[in-house]
Amino acid sequence: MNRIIYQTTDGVAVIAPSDKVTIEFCIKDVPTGAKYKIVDTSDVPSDRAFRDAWEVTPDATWSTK
Amino acid sequence: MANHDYVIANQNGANTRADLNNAFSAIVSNNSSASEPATKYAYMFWADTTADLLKQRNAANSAWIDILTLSTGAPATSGATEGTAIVSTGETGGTKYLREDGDGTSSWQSVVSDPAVGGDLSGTASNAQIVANAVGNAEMADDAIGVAELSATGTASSSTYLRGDNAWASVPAAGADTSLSNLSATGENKVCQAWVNFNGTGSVAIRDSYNVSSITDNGVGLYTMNFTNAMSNNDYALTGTTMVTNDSSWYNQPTVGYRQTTEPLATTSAKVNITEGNGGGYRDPTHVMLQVFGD
Repeated sequence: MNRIIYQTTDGVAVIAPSDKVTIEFCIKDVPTGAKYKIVDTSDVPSDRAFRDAWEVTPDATWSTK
Repeated sequence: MANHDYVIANQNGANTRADLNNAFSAIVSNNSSASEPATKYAYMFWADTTADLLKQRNAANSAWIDILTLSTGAPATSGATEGTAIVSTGETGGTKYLREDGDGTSSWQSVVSDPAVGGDLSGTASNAQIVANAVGNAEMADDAIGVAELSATGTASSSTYLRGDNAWASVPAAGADTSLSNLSATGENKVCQAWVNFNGTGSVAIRDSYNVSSITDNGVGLYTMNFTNAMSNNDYALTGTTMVTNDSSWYNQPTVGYRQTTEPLATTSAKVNITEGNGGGYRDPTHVMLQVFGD
């Protein structure tokens, strides 16, 4: 299963899809104008001790909603 | 055809003989005539050739009683007076009626005072009707009325049933989702429009859901429930609860709420904050369960 990550003013948001829809369907849940990327679940840290300190730097591989 | 006043006038021998012969002729022909005798006597017969009836004068000599039909000999009943022209069989209480038997004869039949139906119904009736309150206690055999005898729109089959509106309707296929498709717009407001159970710890993941496409992990204790199909408006009711496994401190049980400045409820999503029950900060529960009711 994949995740969608996008950059927010406070850090990083991670979209976890339902198994009833595709990851592509969940792109609708990305805020308009936000840069996002579909990643493997394993690429998202499971240690949430410093969850609010997560940061990402979008590059050319990211898409814009 | 002869009528006579049955009075022999004073006259010579030849006329007396003729008068007697006329009287005898009237007697043997029962006073047969197209019109009634000019002189009438009580109990006198009259063969009315116009009406084809044998009539008899009543005791008061005031009217004629129809006796029988001259051409057939059948009892005359038209205009008959009960107990006079038709002789009853003597029962009291009105227990018999005269039935025309369909073969030129008639017969006395017993009146059924309480026509209780018993035994098997048989025969045919194109416009039969069971009137209101006609049946007090009745039992219909399992195969008394076949489907072929029922009149309804649609097609009767092993996959249809007879609805209250007299229509054959299809039985929903096994496993078909009938929970919402068969509800009216009002009925849909009475059922949950969306729900989700997800793990807020580790890698946030949805366990199960309905009409929820995804959960957005915005940070510790901060989540967004995204709807698969948008709500009609954001006046819906959102409820939720949480559970935390392996934590026995009751005051650490998180609560679902929202305490930020932005509007939490949108037609496409709903934001929630999960805070510790003791007034502490945001918390990631192992179980977050949210439900939405509304339009």
